[in-house]
Amino acid sequence: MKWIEYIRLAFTEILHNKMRTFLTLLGIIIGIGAVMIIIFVVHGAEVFIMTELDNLVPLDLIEVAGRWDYDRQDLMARETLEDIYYLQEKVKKDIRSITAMYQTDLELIYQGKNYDADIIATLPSYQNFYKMSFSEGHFFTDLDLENQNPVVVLGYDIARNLFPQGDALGKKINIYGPYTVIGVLAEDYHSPLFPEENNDNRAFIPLTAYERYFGVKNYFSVMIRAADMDNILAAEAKIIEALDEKYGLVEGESRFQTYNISEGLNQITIVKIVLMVLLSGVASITLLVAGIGIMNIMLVIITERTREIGLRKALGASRKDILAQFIIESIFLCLLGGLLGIGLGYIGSKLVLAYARDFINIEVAVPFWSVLLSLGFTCGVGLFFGIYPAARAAKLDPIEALQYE
Amino acid sequence: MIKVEKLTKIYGKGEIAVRALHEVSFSVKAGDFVAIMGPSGSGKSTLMNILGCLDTPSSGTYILNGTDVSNMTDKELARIRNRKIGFIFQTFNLLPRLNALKNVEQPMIYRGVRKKQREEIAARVLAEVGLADRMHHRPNELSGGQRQRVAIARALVNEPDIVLADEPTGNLDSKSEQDILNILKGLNRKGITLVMVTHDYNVACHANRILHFMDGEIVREEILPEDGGGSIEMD
Repeated sequence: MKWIEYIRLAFTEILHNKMRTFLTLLGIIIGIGAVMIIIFVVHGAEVFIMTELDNLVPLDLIEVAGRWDYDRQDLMARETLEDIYYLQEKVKKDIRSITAMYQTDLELIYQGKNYDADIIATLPSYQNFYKMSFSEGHFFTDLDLENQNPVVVLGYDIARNLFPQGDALGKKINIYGPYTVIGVLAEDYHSPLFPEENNDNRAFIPLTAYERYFGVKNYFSVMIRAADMDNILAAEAKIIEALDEKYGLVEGESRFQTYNISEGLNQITIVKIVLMVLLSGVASITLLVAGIGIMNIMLVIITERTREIGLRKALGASRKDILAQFIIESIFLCLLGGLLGIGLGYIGSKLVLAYARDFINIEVAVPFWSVLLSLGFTCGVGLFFGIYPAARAAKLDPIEALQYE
Repeated sequence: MIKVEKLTKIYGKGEIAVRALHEVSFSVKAGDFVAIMGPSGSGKSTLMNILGCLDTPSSGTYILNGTDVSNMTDKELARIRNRKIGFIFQTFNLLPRLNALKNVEQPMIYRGVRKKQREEIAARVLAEVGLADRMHHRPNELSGGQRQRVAIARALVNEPDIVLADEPTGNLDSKSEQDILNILKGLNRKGITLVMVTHDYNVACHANRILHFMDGEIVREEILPEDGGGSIEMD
């Protein structure tokens, strides 16, 4: 019960002399404000980068390819369809899905009309991997793959151009031989994995049909999604290990390598950690300086209110009561500074980012932990630097204090 | 109520030792109204500080309502001051930022009374001293007499065994002085034990008896007639 009363008293006192309170707290306000600006902007940038990246490439996507041999000017190895089945079995637990493709540009011809399409020769698993959606028909099946069936799935624009009547299904178009249209993608279809990628000019054919015509010389890209977002590195290692087991090493090194966007993210994390370490250094010095200011003003306050302390003792306040009253006042003084500092940080980071809007469109992001942490620290400063003045107040002799002029 | 025996207070040590009180003995019965008079340096302030448990005697005993408080710790003394003693000061000593009601509530905070009950009691006691309509005024919005009435209310809220008044009318004009003395006498008639320090004989005459101090000792005790007060001539 007493505590609530001490808090009320603290507010009465803190708000009584607003100018002095404000000047006292300026150190904390600017210190916390500056730190908050950096945290809010960096966090905003991080959120921005993650969102952008996630729009470009799923964060759990692992690409596997042979390493480049500079002497021979060729890849050290090429995976084949066999390897896909092999990996599917071998590292089953670490991967969520796997697919592979050749990508090339070819001309589609139907009744004298030509269309330059982006051909993707792939596996039936592509459909689920990319979460495709269709306006009509369907994707090709394992049977199509096995039998090297000449079937094709068209992007929406291709179908509309070659078949304005919308009767594409079942028609035969010429790619490098006749292919039967079995499906058309949904209008303006974008894969949730690659929201930025346009699929309207793509045509999809079975990988085996492509290989029958072009062989296996082209770049065969293998795409895997890791089963566990947090174990991407382990999954990558297992994939390489499995392939090494099959293909053997070259001069003690693997013929393969994997790519994942999180390697770039690690760099961002390192930059962030370095920044945070520097920042906490700056914050500590600021808070130390601010704390000394608080201690100073608390000593002034206690001198000014010596008679009050004497009176309170006469009215029955124990040393503990006086100690608690002034420590609470010091803590709330600092807490107010912390709150104003966070406010300043929020407004400041808005201004900084508004100024940067011409270059980059980052939104201010307020991480909850940073608010808690800074309030915690300001409380700590209030407590630490308030103890000495409060202890001095508590030890005052009531008679002398009451006679103080 | 109060029993003081051979109370001695010595400040400092050896050559520079000052004896502020020398073997003072007297007692105050419950419901009594005692004035303590004497020139400055006579030891009356020291006595008040000891009676108020703000200070402890060098030797001798002080028994307050059956409890020996001569050798108590700081914490115990704080408790005694809170529960058993009410203070009235010459300079009122009100907290300037708080209104009358809040000022009167303060002693109850240290007693641990809940807010609602505190406000009720404070309002009731303020009404008793005639400040029902001034409860929400801050000290600087009150006259000297009103301020002292707030201080009296503050001294009474914890229902102390004894109220100590140190020159309660020293800072007041004659009209307010009469006001305050009437209130004090009224309280005494209701059974409250009062000890008042003053150097004004006219003020002291409102008490039932006067202890005259000089050089740390009681030099004379003066019993006043029942209807005492008002116009007693100086000798």
